[in-house]
Amino acid sequence: MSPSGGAEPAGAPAENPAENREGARDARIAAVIALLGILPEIGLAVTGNELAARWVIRIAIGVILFAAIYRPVRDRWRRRTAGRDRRLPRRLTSARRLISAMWPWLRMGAAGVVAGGMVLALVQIAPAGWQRLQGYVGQCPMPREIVLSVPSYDVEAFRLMAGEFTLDRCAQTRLKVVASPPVAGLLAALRSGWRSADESRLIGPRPDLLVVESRDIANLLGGDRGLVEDVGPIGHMEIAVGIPETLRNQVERETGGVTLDSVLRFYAEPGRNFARPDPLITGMGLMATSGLNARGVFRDPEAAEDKLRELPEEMGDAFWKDQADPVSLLCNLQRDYESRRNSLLRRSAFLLPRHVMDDYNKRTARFCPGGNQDRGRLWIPDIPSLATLDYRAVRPIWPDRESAGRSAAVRELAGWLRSRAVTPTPEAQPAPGGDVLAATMEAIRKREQRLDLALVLDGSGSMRRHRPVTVRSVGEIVEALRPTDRVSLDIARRPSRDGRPQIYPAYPPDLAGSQGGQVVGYLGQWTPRDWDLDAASTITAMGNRPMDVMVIVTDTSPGKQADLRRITADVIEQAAGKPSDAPVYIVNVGDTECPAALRSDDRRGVFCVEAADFDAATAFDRLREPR
Amino acid sequence: MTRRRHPVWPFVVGFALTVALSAAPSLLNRAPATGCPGDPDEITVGAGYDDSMDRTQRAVINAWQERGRTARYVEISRIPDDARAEMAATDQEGRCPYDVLVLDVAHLAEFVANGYASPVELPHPASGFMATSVAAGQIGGTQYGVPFAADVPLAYSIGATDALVSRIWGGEEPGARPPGQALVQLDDYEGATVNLVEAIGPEVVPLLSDPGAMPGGAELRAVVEPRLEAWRTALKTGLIDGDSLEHSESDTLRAFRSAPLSAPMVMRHWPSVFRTLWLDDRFRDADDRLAFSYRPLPRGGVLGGSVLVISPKARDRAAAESLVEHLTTPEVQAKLFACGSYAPVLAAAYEVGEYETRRFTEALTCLRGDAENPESLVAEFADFAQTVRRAMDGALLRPQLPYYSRVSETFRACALAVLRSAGPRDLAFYDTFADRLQAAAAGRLPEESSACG
Repeated sequence: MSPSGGAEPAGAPAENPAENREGARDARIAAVIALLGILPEIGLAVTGNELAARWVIRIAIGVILFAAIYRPVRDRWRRRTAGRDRRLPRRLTSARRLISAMWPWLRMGAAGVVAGGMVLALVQIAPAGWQRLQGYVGQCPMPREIVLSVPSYDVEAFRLMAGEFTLDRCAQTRLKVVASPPVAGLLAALRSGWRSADESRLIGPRPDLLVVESRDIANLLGGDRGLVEDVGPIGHMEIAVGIPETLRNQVERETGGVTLDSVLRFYAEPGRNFARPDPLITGMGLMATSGLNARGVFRDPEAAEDKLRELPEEMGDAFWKDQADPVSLLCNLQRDYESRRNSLLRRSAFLLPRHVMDDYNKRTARFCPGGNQDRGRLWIPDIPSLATLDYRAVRPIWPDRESAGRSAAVRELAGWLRSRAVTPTPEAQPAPGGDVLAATMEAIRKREQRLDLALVLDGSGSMRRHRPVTVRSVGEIVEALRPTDRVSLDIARRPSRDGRPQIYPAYPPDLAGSQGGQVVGYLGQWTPRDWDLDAASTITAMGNRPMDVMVIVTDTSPGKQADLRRITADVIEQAAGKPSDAPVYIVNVGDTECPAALRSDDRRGVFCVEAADFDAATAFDRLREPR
Repeated sequence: MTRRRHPVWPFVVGFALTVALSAAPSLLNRAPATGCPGDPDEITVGAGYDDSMDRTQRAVINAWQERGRTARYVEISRIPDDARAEMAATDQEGRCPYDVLVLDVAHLAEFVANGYASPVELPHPASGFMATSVAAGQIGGTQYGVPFAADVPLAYSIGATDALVSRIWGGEEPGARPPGQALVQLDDYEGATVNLVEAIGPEVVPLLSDPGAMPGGAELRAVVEPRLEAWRTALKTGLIDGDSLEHSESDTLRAFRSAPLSAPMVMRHWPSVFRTLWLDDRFRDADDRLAFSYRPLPRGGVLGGSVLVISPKARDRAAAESLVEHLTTPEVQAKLFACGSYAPVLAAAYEVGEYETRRFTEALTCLRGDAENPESLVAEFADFAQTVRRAMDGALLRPQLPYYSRVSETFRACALAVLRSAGPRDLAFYDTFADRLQAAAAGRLPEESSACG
């Protein structure tokens, strides 16, 4: 006898009660197995993990369900057709026999697939279940630490979201949200293993997930194979055009129907400006510029960049810091609202994230730290956004801490962020990439006027008396830098009375935006106590360092062997002979005046200037040239 | 009738197929099994930024070598919690963790619970170490961290501040207002937690040390309210500088350095700032004597500092242990103290008067500097060293909890809420305070906002 229930003689089902009972039992078992087979799906839904067996399991469930309903359907069909001629063609009969012979094997195979799926699901679910149980009865198991790096102006928003992601009685993940480095330095940071330029330090905790503001930026980072893995889009952000309320009537009157194009062209006119976050620091500023270029508001990307740089050039050096991110840009509009500087901003259109502008308008008086004014509100006309950014997540690959568990947790986080994404308004245009973005980046880089400053402090003990002046001077020098300038700090000293000068690198070259404050803070505990400085030897020792300007802060060692007045000729000779043509400023914080030969600007390349008279901003601006 | 047999092997094949197909993608996507990056003979040491003069800690570690093995000091961040995040973002299954961590003592219990720290033996006799530092490196009676640098706060004073110090840190009952003003650190960071623990006193430490037996609202209130109220009043009346609520260590030091020397003032700060004040001509009188004094906090300060932790997955454990042994020799500890202001964990390194006979040349060079009368400087530093040692003997350990940082955040948020309040808080507030502490100690996140009260 065939083991198959379908192999019994045709037309006999109702006459064999044992067969019927067995069939019913099989159907029940099949139904139970089918129900159990759903468990892996539930497991997958709970854990969010994709298994390769997903479709196999689904097919198996289908087979078992079919098995469950096959016999009742067949029996009903047989009862209906009882008495009729049910002889089948020979070919169908043999096929049916084949199926009947195969069926038990198929059914058991499917049951094996389901059992495998259940085991896999159990493996996935068990840790979470165990964790919940532990949390319920006692202390939660330790969560996995994940570092999430996001654009600087989005840190608070992502921290709030992180709170929701980890909001559970026992969170499996602990999220640390940190600000990303400037967009212009992201690729270099990834290539260098998230280290400083001299590779001596990490620039912060290495991110497990890095959020960038567009797919094009992600592609740029992903260009180097093996550095990152693109884990897909996670959200959208609209770059809207905001207009200070004071110009609202004029814009409405002169544009004759407010449209995106008419507003952009209105602000492209002379005497008006666009305020954007620095495109070398934020991807948002870069994409806003690209968005302007895509709409053909200006003749070409170079003309656009020239126009967009007018505002910071007119506003002065401090504004380069203010436009480092959207929040400080808006706070600048609110601060000193009546001043002349601010009138330049009041004539500008703001290209910023819509949600940041909305937040600013909702709580203008409380938006800025220390702000208590309700002035400087923006009008956001009901026109399409300039562009929509498709926020994207990439997973940097750090070979030393790569693991399957971490990778899965990071993907889960990316998936969760994706599920929270807000759908952009239908009329918003995607931010332009490709050629437009490439041309925009090229124009921005051509006009970049970065300055590399090598700051050298006299580390001799006599400087202790002049510490307050030194701290003030260094503060002013650092303040005169733009966030994308580079600054390094070295201490020049002689370890003994007759020793040769040593250069101690306190801070390697890094962006002024991230390191400037640290350099000034360092002086808070600075206690110089070595031997007097020989400026000529210091210039020689620093000579090979790539830089645009060197500033030595010293008391000029009056009355000592290394007194600047005694070694003036040597200093001039060393400055003239050094490989770089970077000028050297000796900022005198001491009580004795600079030697006369070093005071005049006669192209010797080295100048001595009293600390009180040193106008760092003017001196540096003279040195800025497009690269 | 024969019983139908169900074939077994299709079941086995289906089962195996499913498991194999599930495992395939992870096998295919697995990162190529390359070796750990960097030099295989190099011990990697993860740490926060070393901002000491001349980065002494970094220099000492980078200079170590033994039988072809070297060490590389990886500075992670200036912000302690960022450095902790990088150190903690290492999984058990990750291939190449930092071999050695210079870990803040506050996080040791967390790292032990995560399995990132392995038991160690002290490289020198325990009697040579400062007892509190050894205790700070133990979790559940097992030594996981070898003491590396100690930190215990002192009260730095300008003028006569005995009464002020007793009032602020001595647990003295309110009375007539003493002259002067105190500078503390109460910005929302870990530093504020230790200030608050010192404000309340040693009795709060055991109260928070058992995650399974955190106090109830009434018990908590009985211990913390009197002193928190005293500090709230002191902030209100200006006995404690109101700006302290926004100050971290650097702000406090700046305020102290620029304060007039005519009015009494006391600053709670770490031993690391001594050098800055000691060598500042402003803090010298006409006879070249120090114009400020220092003393341990009357009821003990909270022990800070760091321990050396060896990863269970260290590539060369013997070399890592050898490095740890080197870093805890008296000579290295003396150099770190004299040149980098890291308070030592070895009793011998506090004996500055013996540096000469023990030939601790580098440490002495740092102390003498360019001074015309270097021996008086050495004598002053020796006196300071003994004060730090006394402070170490009476130091308080922070609660050693796996979820310490979460407990600390919660404790700080609620205690600062008291200090910022217009008046005393009621029992309901302390009940909430206690509930949040209990949840935090068990690792549970609060269901509402983390703000307290």
